Amino acid sequence: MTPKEPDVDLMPGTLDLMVLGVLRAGADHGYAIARRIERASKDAIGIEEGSLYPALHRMQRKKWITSEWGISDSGRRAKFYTLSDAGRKELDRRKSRWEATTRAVRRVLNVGGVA
Amino acid sequence: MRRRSNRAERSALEQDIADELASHLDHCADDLASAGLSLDAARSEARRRFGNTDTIHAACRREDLYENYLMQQLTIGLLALMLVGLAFFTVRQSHAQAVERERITEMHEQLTTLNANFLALPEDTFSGLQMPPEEPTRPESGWVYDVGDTIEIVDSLNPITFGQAGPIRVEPDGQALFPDAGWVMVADRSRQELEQELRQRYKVYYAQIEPRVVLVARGGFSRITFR
Repeated sequence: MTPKEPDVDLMPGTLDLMVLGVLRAGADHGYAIARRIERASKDAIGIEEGSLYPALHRMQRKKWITSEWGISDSGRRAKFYTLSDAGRKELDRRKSRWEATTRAVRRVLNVGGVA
Repeated sequence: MRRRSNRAERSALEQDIADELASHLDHCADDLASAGLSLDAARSEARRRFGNTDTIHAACRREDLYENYLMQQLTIGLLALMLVGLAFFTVRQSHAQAVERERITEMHEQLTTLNANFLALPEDTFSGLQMPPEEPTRPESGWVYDVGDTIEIVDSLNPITFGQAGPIRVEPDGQALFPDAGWVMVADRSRQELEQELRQRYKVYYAQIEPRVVLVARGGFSRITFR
């Protein structure tokens, strides 16, 4: 297992979107969230803990997610984050914006003959 | 009480962040150990991958205490602004004081030079100067007007009453011609006596008047006596 470096430059807010997206599937702790994102992106995206934890705390402050201490699958104590109703709305909003942006970028690439 | 409560909350928050980051390291070390690393090597590698724990801890704290952080930044900003303002005011004040000090020093130097020049003048420099006549103010002094004196008349109640009158000369016969009042004997009379007579004469023309006689210059005529 080697440390992963992100292969892509993420747009601002993408980390929040991915974390909210992962949490839609169910509550999880920070380490597991990072691994799930990496697995889902087939290791194309590496999550830096230096960004993940402040982002989790920021989203909790904004009440998009809530936290609760529990026991993980490995039997260790961990802080589990759950998507709140406000977070679900924020996820939908960001997801539709993301899709609109990617569609627009794709159109630009098609017109330019890049893609 | 509230401060103690805040301190307890803050302490709990710090512990919560530390526990969460430690939990992350433990999970990571578990994964690495299950991949074949020894426990110590796994922990060491997990810590290396995680990076600077203190920095991440501080970033989490900043997010949790965002409002407090904002208030702190605002306070620091205001304090900095006040300090800058105070410094500016102090510099401006000290500059103004320096300018004033310089001006006073310059004035002092000028006065010192003037004084030195004055003291260096020959003693007879002012011997040719004539001092203005002394104003007779005390009736008991026995001072009286004389032939040739130049006087002026003014109204204490209304300065424009005799505004156009100009200087009045005491003629050789001791009389002087006053506006409206005509010829009045002035010589050998004190100021009070003269003003008393003028008051009587002007009462005919003015409802309110307070004539005052001012000596402009002492005369130099010889007296002529009419027999």
